Amino acid sequence: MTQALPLALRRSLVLLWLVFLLLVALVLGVALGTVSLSPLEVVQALLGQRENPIVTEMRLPRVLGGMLVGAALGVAGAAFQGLFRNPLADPYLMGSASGAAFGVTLFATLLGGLSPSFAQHAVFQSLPFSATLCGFLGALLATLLTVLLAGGVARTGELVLAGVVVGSVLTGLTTYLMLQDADRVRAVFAYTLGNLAFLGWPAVRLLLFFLVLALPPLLFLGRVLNALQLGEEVVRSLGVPLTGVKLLLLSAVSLLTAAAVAQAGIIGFVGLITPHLLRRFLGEDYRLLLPASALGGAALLALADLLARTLTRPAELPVGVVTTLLGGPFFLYLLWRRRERA
Amino acid sequence: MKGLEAKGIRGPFALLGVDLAVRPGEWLALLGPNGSGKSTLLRVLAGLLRPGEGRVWLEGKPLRAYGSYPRARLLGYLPQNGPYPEGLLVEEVVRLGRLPHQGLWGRERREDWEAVEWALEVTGTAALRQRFLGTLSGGERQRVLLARALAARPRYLLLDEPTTFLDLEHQAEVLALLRGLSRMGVGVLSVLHDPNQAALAHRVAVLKGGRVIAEGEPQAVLTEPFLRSLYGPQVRVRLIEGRPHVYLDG
Repeated sequence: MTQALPLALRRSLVLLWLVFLLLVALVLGVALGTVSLSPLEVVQALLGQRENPIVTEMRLPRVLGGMLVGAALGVAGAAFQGLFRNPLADPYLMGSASGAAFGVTLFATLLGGLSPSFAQHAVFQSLPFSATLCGFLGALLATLLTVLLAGGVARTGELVLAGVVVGSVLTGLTTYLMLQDADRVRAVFAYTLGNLAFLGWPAVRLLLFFLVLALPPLLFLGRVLNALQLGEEVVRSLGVPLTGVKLLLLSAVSLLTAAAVAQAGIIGFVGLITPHLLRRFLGEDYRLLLPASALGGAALLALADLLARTLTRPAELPVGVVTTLLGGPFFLYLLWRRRERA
Repeated sequence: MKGLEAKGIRGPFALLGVDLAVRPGEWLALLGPNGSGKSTLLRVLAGLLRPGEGRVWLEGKPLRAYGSYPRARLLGYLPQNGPYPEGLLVEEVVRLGRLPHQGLWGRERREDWEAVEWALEVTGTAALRQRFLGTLSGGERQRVLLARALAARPRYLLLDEPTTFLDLEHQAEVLALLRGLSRMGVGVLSVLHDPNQAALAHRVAVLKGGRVIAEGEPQAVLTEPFLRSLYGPQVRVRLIEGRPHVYLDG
């Protein structure tokens, strides 16, 4: 939080920079691949001046879908950190992403929501609406379980520890469910590592739908998230019906997590890194931090996917591997800085 | 029936039957050894904890009969040493104090801005408005948090050890502010642990073992025999210009 520039100017510059990053990621994301396109061709195709099925049917939904997944995770992380007043909270570390994955898998296997050919990419592209709802329930329950095990939200260390335990157990159960069918082994790894390769237009539409549903209540409650940083007692003393507010926040975050996980699997650390980086430049006003985290999460995941697609060309890495490789050290850095301060 | 009154409060925790009242325009200091239940009593009065037995009355009506927002408009509460957002601007923090008038979905109106301006003015924090809370000194921060509690323009202000961790200069500022607020008609109830600070209030109540064991004007309550029975034999009291000054012999 350096004071070199006036705050309003600094905030606008950061937002502009994020939009610029998004545009760069969009053009590069569409241009790169087995058939590389020039930026000009990309822009022409995007503006509809020249038909290009590679762009419109394959790469564009992947890039846009990836951005929506990143936006959902970024906002979910920021809201989690505000709600739990915990700088290490994020859908991945809180076990809520694993809960969503478990819910989706349970839906797919036990309720027979998917055809037997689960391993095929086409199935992933159209994981239906109801899968997200099962994921939502899984995410909500996993988060509540984590908070319960930690004995409250205020205990940062315990919360992360409980989240890791809940996440690991649920991931184990998810893998177990998936392995019931040997054909699914490939899909298991594709899914649990987090992957944007399966995103098509149906996935983009679903993601957009859930983002539009979950974002407004979060943005409206930005002020309450600000107030929560003064402690729950103060919020209650201000007359705010805290239990209802917390449940609403938790539901919105779980929905965002589930929407992302149902389409792209478990992608770690986007929700942790994005708000942290932005808080440095923007401060802690959640009315600004939440929308900025949507932009930032979108940009971060889109750029991570570029790395995932290019690092080991012609093979592809699951993007979850890239974010984990970036996020693990970042997490350690945060822990280290907390110790330095204390 | 003006006033905020606790009647026969028994439980939760250490409280074993407390009667206490604060009137508008009065500054009441609550003293007592650690663990005597001061903070608990303050939370009960603020409506944050439900008493096991007994009742809190606010202006002649049971506190529980108030909705949460009407209650919050009348009662301001500032906890001891609570968390605070380092990366939030002073002005934003004070504006949060208007939530009782706006509700969750309400918009800011002119009277909200005026109340925020007023709270920044009285606490002397107007010049800090564009600073992040994390960049302030302890005394400045405490005044900002006080401004947040004042922004709702409550009729009663409940403060838990508002001077702890402040240096002498900032302690004096906060105490002068409390006196000024009571002069404006606000009923102030502050938990304090320093009897010399309590001596500045209009009235002092002493909580021990879950009961109010003494209550009255400072010079009547803060006597040497009584404070010795409370804090030990090394306590001395000297009256200077009619006001008790407490110090330790040693």
